[in-house]
Amino acid sequence: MPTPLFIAQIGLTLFVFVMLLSSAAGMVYVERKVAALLQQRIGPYLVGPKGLLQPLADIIKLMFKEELRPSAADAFLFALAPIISATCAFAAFAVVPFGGDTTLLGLIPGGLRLQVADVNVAILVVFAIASMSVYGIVLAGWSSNSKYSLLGGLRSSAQMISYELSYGLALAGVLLVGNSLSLTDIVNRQAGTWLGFIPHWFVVVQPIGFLIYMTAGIAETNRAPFDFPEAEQELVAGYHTEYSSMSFAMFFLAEYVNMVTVSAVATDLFLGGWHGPFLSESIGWIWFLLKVAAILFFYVWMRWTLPRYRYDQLMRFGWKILLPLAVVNLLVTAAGVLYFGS
Amino acid sequence: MQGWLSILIMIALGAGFALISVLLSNVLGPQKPTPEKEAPYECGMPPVGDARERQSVKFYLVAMIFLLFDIEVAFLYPWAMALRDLGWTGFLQVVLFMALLLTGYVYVWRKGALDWGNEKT
Repeated sequence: MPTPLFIAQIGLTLFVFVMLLSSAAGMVYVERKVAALLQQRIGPYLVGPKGLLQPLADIIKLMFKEELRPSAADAFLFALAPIISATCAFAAFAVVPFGGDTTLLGLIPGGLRLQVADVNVAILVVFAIASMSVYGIVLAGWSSNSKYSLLGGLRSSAQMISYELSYGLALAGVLLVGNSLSLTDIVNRQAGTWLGFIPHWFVVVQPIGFLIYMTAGIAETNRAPFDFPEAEQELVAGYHTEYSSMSFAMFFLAEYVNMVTVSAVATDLFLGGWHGPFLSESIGWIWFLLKVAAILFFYVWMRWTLPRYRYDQLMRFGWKILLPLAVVNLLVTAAGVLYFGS
Repeated sequence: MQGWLSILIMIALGAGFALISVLLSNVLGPQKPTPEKEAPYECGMPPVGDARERQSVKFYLVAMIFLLFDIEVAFLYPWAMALRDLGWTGFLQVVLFMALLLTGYVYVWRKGALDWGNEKT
């Protein structure tokens, strides 16, 4: 017997899925418009009002393009890689809460939490799926049997695993302060303010952790200035050089959905999630959306402002600066938690 | 259990969407393969040799070092959850654990396993 809560949960899952898809499409548009803004161009403006239908036009165009595959490629893995990438991107968002309990205008007795999957080890799931997504890229690079793809895939895997350590350690710092593996609990510990005006966000007590998390997150999602897997000037298009049509679109979809997930997790862990002034908790998801949008804008801003690093600089920074910094941050946090006992 | 079911639904939705859109483009798009189209892209030049050649051992080294440190991070998660019960004893134990790792870290650093190329900048 499906209860109203169960139906609402299924509905919410579908809703989040569609929203993720549209956020990826929206990000393509925002990326191009912001790039145009920063370079004093107009950007897309022909398709739809102010070019708003541009992502749709792109998808339709890609849909009708020929699906190419190098004859020497490994057919099965070549087809599998984009699907793995896209699946991992969607799965990671499933555990991210994006709002407090809601009764959906009184339709659901007891309230529904705005989160696809309420599991008590959400942070571990995010960490695990972030590690999985490297498979899509490595398999794409290897199966293409193209030199550019292979180099892109190798570089990418080395980069992602190097920065994953700092990513994981930054998460552990928040675990210490929040004392929970559940993202919902961590967000709820960030409600309220100190002295009436400083929000009780973990970015205040974990500023270095936040910086490490964002740096590693940008490297994990392969965005500029760490976009080595697809460094156009060196590797053509990196791991997806040989991909065309919708398989190519899947990699792009995965990249944008991953960006949204990293921003959403950053909001939950460091920026207080749906807690903020002026709005009650039932419509707190507005705050959540605003914070995620701000981080996403920052992502795009970074890409069109900073030049790409050199590969040896990237590896040195990850292993010799970020990793020790993350360990020290974790130990200092642990000592602080024990000393102040909060 | 409902939480995990929802994750599975999400995975199925993601995989299903990816599969269907790729299949759809296979149906909708033209299929006119030529030997040139099926060759790997090498900037218009005829491809030289196979792509699966020997690669720099650096990548292998990084993967090995990653395994060690990633297990360390995995150990730290339960420790972080239990720190309030363990108190300063637990803290000192992890400091000792970190010191042991640090020895290995200094070793790979001095051996040059973390250097990529010869640049001194």
